[in-house]
Amino acid sequence: MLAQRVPFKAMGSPCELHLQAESQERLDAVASAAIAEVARLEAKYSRYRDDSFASRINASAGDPAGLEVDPETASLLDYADLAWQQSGGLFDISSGVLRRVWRLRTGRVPEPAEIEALRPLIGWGKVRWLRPHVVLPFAGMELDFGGYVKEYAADRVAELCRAQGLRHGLVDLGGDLAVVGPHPDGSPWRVGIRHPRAAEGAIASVALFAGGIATSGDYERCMLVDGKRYAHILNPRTGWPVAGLASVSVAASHCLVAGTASTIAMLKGGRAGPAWLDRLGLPSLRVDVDGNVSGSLANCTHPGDSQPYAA
Amino acid sequence: MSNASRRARRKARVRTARRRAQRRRKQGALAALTSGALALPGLAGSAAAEGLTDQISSEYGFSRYSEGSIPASKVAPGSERGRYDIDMHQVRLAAPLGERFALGLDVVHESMSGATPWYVIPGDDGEPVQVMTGATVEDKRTDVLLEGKYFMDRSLASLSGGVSFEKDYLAINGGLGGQLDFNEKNTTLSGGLGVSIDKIDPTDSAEFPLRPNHEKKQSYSAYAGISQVVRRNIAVQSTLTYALGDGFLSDPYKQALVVGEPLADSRPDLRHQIAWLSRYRHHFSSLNGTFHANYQFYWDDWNITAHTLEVAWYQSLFESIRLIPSFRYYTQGQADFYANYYTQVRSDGLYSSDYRLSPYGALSWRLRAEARFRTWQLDWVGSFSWERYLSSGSYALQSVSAPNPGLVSFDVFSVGLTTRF
Amino acid sequence: MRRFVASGLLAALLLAGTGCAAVKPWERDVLARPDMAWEPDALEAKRSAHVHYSKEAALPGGGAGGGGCGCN
Repeated sequence: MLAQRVPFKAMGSPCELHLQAESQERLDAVASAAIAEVARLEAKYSRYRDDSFASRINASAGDPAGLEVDPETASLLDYADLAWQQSGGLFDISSGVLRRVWRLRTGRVPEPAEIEALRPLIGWGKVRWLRPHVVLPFAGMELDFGGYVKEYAADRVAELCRAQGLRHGLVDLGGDLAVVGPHPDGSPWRVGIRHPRAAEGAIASVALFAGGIATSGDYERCMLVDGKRYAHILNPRTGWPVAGLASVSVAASHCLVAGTASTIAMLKGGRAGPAWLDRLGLPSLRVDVDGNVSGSLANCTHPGDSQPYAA
Repeated sequence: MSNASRRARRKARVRTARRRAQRRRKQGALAALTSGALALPGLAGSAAAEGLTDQISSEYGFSRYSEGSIPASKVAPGSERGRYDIDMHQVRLAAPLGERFALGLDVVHESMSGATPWYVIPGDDGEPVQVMTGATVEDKRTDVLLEGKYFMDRSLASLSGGVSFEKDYLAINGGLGGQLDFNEKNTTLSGGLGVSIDKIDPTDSAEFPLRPNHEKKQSYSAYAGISQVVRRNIAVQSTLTYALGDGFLSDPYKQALVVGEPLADSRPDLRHQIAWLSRYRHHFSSLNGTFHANYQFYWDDWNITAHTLEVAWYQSLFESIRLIPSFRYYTQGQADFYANYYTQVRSDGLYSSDYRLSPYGALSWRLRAEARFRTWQLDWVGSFSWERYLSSGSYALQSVSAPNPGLVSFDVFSVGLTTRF
Repeated sequence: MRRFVASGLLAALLLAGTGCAAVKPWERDVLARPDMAWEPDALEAKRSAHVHYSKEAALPGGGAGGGGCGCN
């Protein structure tokens, strides 16, 4: 049984496949298929590429005829709709337009008027989604798959590895993890969760046998202006970045579900977020901006363990 | 009860109901998100994986079954002593069709030869002895079964149909089954129905004009079972099966000695049977092995009660080898109309000296070895197993005064090869 | 009949008295092992049931379906 780490870059993040296969040839074949699958999803749903399908959807904004989407996109839109309902409207893939005014690289906080101007374009409730047609009624509206396509990709790649006969492995797409299978001896993958304020340290070490773990944090893409941190997760109702929680990690049967849960928790904020997670029933780790740690995964806190993803 | 306490109770009830509804909604939240995720293409594999894979599998197995010769003390003088040998070939093909459907084909072909018990007579020293038939020329049996399974998110439906034929026997069977998962697949209910219609046409009826001819038999069965995950590494299952046999249930090739005269084996034409099988599976990760135990209770209205207990240990070694030793204990009582031979005529006309309706117990040991390997870009599993089975009146739970002399012992050697692609 | 009831109680105790823990979907790694299946090898189970059924009075018990045979 060969074990190998295959690093690559995709979806703007450093990714890594931890694969175990019976032959180098098999391992290489699966790794290529996996990397190709992530590349396919990136090409299809990236908002940064003009030729992506996501850009085609966005280009159709204002056109009453809308666009007919393929089954995969349809299922992703169904999922976005479901998450929007379950989060009480906080998980909203139409909120991407806010990034036009929240340019994290410039370090500039937008004026309230700029955010107000975008308000008519935000709201999944305004999008007309009737499978397989999606209509963005107002020009300038945008759908942003970036909030969950990476987690979806992790699950798809893990499933792909299993379909190819691999029974052990871990897929890591920039911190969104999906397990192919535990180690050959049945032992779990030891996953380190990064400390939100200490880049090199792990705040906890979680044993993962199956399913996935996703982490949302205010440190991933943020800007610091006058000592105040502005995260990249934006509340669709207020137009402002989330506050209260520094990072949320959730474990679930699928990385996608874990990612949705962690994002929704971040959006709900310091008090409502953890309470929502506890009611949801998934194991989680929450660190608020004051450094308080909570959640069932917090029992695995190993401040000295500085080896993330060690096998 | 005062109004105040009544109001308080009502408030408490409303509070509990509200909390329950909230819990349901939150349980609903996770279940909703998870089933939403499963609806995405290529993600459902992880849940439907138990049963539905992307792979086509083909299995071949060969077994040689050989019965031990009947001891001289148990056989009538001049009778054949060598017993039955069966060579069996099995082929199984399974393939997924689309995202939710799987098809399976099972073909079995057996060649049988040897002598079989015919009837029992009192021996010279008063102990019953077996009269054997002459060794038969090779007999063949072919059995084909087709099964389709339809996988839904939390349930499974299956349909099967098959045909079985021998020179003197033709059977058609069909079955319907289903499974339903609850509690995030921690509990599974299963159930099904089966029917088999058999036609018996003994081959030598021309030479033996008194041999039963052109007989039919119908069998109906129904089962219901429940499986429960107890821990991450423990699961239990219990299944109740009811079967009804209707028609010609006797053995056309056997006879029974009734007051010195061999008469045809004659059993009731109705039989109600119940089997209650419970299974236990327990994995020990520190030993890298799994313990299996099965216990079955059987009862039928011919008054036979039987118990079966099987235990097995699945030991994994070096990631690609598995060794499975197992032990089985079986005990049964006798049919109420059974006797080795009859010194009186029965008013109901039922007679059988078939050891399969006699009281006895059986012990069997089996050792199986499996090895996984990869060549020609395919995954293979090779297996070899050996089983030794011994039956005797003294192994039964109850005391048996005159065991049937035809009780059998046998060895089975099997090899198998499976490939997945 | 008494033995029937006793066996029933044993089976029921096995199911209920063990205190089942709800195992989450991501904890099903061990349960998914092939040696934890009810019948890890279908071919062997079928053959074994056929051999025993043709030599004994009891039914093979795991579920309905499957053909008959004129087993001697």
